[in-house]
Amino acid sequence: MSEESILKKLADSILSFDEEVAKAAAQEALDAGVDPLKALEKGLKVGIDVVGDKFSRDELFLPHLLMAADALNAAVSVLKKNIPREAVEKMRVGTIVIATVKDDIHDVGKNIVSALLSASGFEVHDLGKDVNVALIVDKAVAVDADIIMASALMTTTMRRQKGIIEELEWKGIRDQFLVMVGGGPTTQEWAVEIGADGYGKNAAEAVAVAKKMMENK
Amino acid sequence: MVLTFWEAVERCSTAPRMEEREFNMKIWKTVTALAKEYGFEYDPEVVVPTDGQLADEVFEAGLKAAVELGVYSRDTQRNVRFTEDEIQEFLRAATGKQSGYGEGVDAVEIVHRTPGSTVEPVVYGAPQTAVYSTPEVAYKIYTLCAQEPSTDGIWGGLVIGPPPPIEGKYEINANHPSEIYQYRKEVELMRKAITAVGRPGMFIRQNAPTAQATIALADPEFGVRPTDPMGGNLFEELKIDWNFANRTAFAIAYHTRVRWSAGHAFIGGFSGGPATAPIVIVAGALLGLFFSGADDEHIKEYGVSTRVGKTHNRIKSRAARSCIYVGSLACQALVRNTRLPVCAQGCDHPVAGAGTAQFYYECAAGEIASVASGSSANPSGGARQFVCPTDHVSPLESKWMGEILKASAGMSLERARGIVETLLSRYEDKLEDGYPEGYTFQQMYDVEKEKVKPEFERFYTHMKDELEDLGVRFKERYA
Repeated sequence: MSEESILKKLADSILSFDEEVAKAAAQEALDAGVDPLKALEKGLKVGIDVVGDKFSRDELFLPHLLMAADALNAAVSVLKKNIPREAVEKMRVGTIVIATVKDDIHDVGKNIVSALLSASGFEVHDLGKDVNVALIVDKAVAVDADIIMASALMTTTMRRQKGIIEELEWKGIRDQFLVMVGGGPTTQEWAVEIGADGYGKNAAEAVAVAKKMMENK
Repeated sequence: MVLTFWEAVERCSTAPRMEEREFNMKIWKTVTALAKEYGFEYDPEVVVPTDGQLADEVFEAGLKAAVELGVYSRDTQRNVRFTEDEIQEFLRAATGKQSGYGEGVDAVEIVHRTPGSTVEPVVYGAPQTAVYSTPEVAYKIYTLCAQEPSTDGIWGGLVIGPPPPIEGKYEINANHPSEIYQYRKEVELMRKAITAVGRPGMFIRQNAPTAQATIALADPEFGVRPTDPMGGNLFEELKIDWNFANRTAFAIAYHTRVRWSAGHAFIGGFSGGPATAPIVIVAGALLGLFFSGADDEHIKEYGVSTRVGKTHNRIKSRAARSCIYVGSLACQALVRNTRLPVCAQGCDHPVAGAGTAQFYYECAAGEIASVASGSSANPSGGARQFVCPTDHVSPLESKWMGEILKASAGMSLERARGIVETLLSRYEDKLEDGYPEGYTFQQMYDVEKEKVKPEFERFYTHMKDELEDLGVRFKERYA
């Protein structure tokens, strides 16, 4: 099988939404001597991009994002076993802790962002909804996160996002993390006002901003 | 005997444990399989479905989904199941009405409607979820909305400033003393407003983020009465949590009259797309009955109703093409196969701002489709979804939705479909980008005189003329 065919098979394996299929495609790529980084960039990520595009056109839905992310992670776990540590580090897009803030139980939007991030290669620690500031910050410290993302869907809960920045400042670790905010009532102006580093008006934009922030880090 | 709220709550503590993600994926797999079994497909050309058999099959699928899925109890992390017999028992008990909205001459009841019914729907006026700068602004808007003849009750927003509403310097936060205080002050304003316009028995609706703040609204003299809708039900996609169940528990103890279930779907979420989302709504409407707080005695006296809702995962308007389709089909499925009065969201949240043509188009499209599909009561708020800036609402939009809702009674699905298609062609390309921000109350009204400014009044009349040209027959008594 040509390298081109193997890369296409990797991309297609993501669209199978099946972890076993993705793992088998990754192993096949390794066995054929395909560079693991190339397998990731030109194979698996092509499939992920297709999933993202179809999601934005309402042809695929949140469950597909989750299954695609699972398939990607399964394939990457196979590729990682066969490449040097430095190369593994290159494959890592970034680590994110994400949560909906305390007293806010709206989490569908956050779930979509979380799934899209995973599908984009980020290591995502999703703490769920109604999560207090201390837990979010503690988790970010524990996993050495690059970015903390906080979602709020109500005007009466969005100030909890500011609380995250205050908590980081109080602990003297503000400069260790990038902070992004999002959710219905929030805006770019709000992000600037509270001292956040980024804002996403929707899931796709949140992922794009997170990638950009990691490139500039 | 219908299964009681307390039995449903007990099951939340004894049902088998399950991770939320597993339940979410189970929703998706179940409704996808059912859509395949019935051959449901979404055709974007059909914005208001007119196929009664399809609606009946969606109901059948929704009932199967309800039995197979049950609900997810978030606080106890359990999958709570109910049998078809238990659901059918509730449906047999439903009387086709829901009375107890408001008091005295201002009281209204909602009755079961079917597609094309000439019975007028009940209108919740005033912009729900709006945020106001000052109590004076909120009061004027409530007053102007409450005096509209097309309005049967009003829905509250929240004064959040600037300046910060408490003593001019303290902000409002959920689960904080300020939440209890400010939401309570809001319903006092609403009650004062309906009294001032001579409709003291009109129902009011308010809902705070937390159960404790919602419960604190109860006060027969200044706050929420047992004759005002108050309670909670399923949240999002087939989930129950104590924050909502606590509201129902209080509603039972407070002897509220209006009890409801709620089915809601996220289009693009675990509900899938437009072909499967109506199944989730129907399942939620059926399962939510167990958490409505209605028992046999209550149903006999006041009835029980259901609410259906839909949200697109990306488009922040309830009048997106797929939203209208999903809401219409789910509503038809429920009204054709049960005696539950259905309160549907037509387009309570457009994406365009107040005073703009797009606002009027979006709201009209959503409400017309909903009433033609059999909705018995609609919120006529008109605050932009999620992103409504302070004071970016006016009573004129509440009036618009009320007039449209009343005018849509008696409209056939076929006629609604034609009108909605035309309206969609005028705004559909501006739902994600390029929608107008609209105007503030202060820009649209002479606030001192509490009168709409001539240019906005003329525009309103122009929009009515435009809708009349499309076949909407406004009723003189509501003008």
